[in-house]
Amino acid sequence: MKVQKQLYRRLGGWHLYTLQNTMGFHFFTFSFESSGFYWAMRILLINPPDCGRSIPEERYGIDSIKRIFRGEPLALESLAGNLAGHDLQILDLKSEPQGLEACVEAFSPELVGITAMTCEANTALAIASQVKSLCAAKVVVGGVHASGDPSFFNVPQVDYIVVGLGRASFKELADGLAAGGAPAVTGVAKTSSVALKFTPRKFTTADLADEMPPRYDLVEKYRAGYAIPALGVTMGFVATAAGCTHRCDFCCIGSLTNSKYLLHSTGSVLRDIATLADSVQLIRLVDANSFGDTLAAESLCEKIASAAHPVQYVADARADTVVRDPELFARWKKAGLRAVVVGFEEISDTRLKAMNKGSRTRINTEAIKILHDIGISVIGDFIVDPDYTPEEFDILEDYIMKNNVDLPMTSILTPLPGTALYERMRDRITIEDLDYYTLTNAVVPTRMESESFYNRFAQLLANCHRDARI
Amino acid sequence: MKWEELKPLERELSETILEVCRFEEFDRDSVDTQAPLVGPDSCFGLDSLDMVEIVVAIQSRYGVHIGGQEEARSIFTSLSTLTQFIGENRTT
Repeated sequence: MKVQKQLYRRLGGWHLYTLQNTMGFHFFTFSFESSGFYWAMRILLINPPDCGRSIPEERYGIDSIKRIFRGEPLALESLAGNLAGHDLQILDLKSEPQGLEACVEAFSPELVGITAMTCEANTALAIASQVKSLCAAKVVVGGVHASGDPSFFNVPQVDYIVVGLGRASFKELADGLAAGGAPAVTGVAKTSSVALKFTPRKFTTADLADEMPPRYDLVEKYRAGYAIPALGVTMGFVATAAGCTHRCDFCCIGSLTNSKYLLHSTGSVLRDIATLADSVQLIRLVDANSFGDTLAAESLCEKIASAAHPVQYVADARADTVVRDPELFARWKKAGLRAVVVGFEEISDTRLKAMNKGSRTRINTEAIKILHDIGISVIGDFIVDPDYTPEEFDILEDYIMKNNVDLPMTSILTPLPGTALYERMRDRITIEDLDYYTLTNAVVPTRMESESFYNRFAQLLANCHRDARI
Repeated sequence: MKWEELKPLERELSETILEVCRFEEFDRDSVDTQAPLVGPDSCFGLDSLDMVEIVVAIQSRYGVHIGGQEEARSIFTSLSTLTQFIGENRTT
């Protein structure tokens, strides 16, 4: 359906708008809005393509460090969910890498939103430039990097920067622009030729816009590709929380919520699970911490068990939560929890403390044992410090093997802009190009000779993934 | 309370706490069996992570089972309550 300019007319809080399909027929629908007259807009939301560069591959020909799954752009689906009344498309360039030009030409967007992690930041700017060359759309950038380092995007090809959760603020911006204004929205910065100024947003559960479901339908054509090929399972994403309960110094999550931990309503989580349950085999609860409020996790578990959807779940938990409350995880296992992602990060208490991780090796080890006893697979996140010696690599590999971590996910400690770690390590950073901030490159000098470091890192991944499973 | 005045199991548990939390310099005569075991008024200076480590250790050492956070908080009210729980439930 090609949507023409749609005139919203206020009718006592309800709005009437007309849509015209390709056959020229008009039909009418209503939408509740709180603002006055405005034009609905054609809004294109873009997920950048796989990007980022690899030092081990470029310098040493090590090409064995690969992505193991592709997930759906839930952040964009959630933005779209709260933009009812506008005409929306999501372009997932990870699924359709060459699709930008054709999509922009066919859809002719008036507003373009681009999300980007740090390693995608340069690519987001390139996309913004290409969009500007193809159409007259306003360009908005948001996501993790925009939230941690908004000034990076203070460039001419970007018009606005969404800092932190964008469901509510992006809607306010879009509605304001549609009404013909240049709205001042908290949590949104208007780019400028001088220093960036904006009013930070005080995030609350209202920013989760739980009453508006994510637009999973907008990525339907890509859905078959959202999968873990090695396991042959399709996977969908549902969020149960935003932000985190802890302040690990390497983590960029805190900048999305100003370090608040915000829970989605149980009703909205169940609704989203029900939406996906018939089309995927595995639902990934994509939270930094799905068990940050154990009472809420208990309640959600009961309701998921009652719903009895034919899917399994993967969720994130802290090791200390597992040890503090093993029976909670036993109940989740019965409700379908197949695997838990635990950020063990390190096997040295000294390094865990320096990261402000709030856990200890002995607790991590016990958590693995508890989860295995329950029958839940352990996906363990580990972080290799560029300061690692060969002996420390050996100790880490030995720990992973001895404790039978089912699927180790190992990255290299990377000071992402906007994190406390960045402030701690910034004087040591020798690689500023954000294309390398993929978490598989060392952007500070390694203690070991560089090629030896990457060879050992690749060997660690290969050895630990030989019998990987979830 | 003087170290010698503690009951044998209280002394044993105190030693377990000191060992698990790697407290090498600790005035054993400062143990207060009725004081909160965890938090700012803890005579051991234990925080919630210490408690998790101690739960792991005593479950293994005494063959007891502590099922959840609420139960753990109750058991860890003081050295006295911990001692009572272990005394009544130990299997090893």
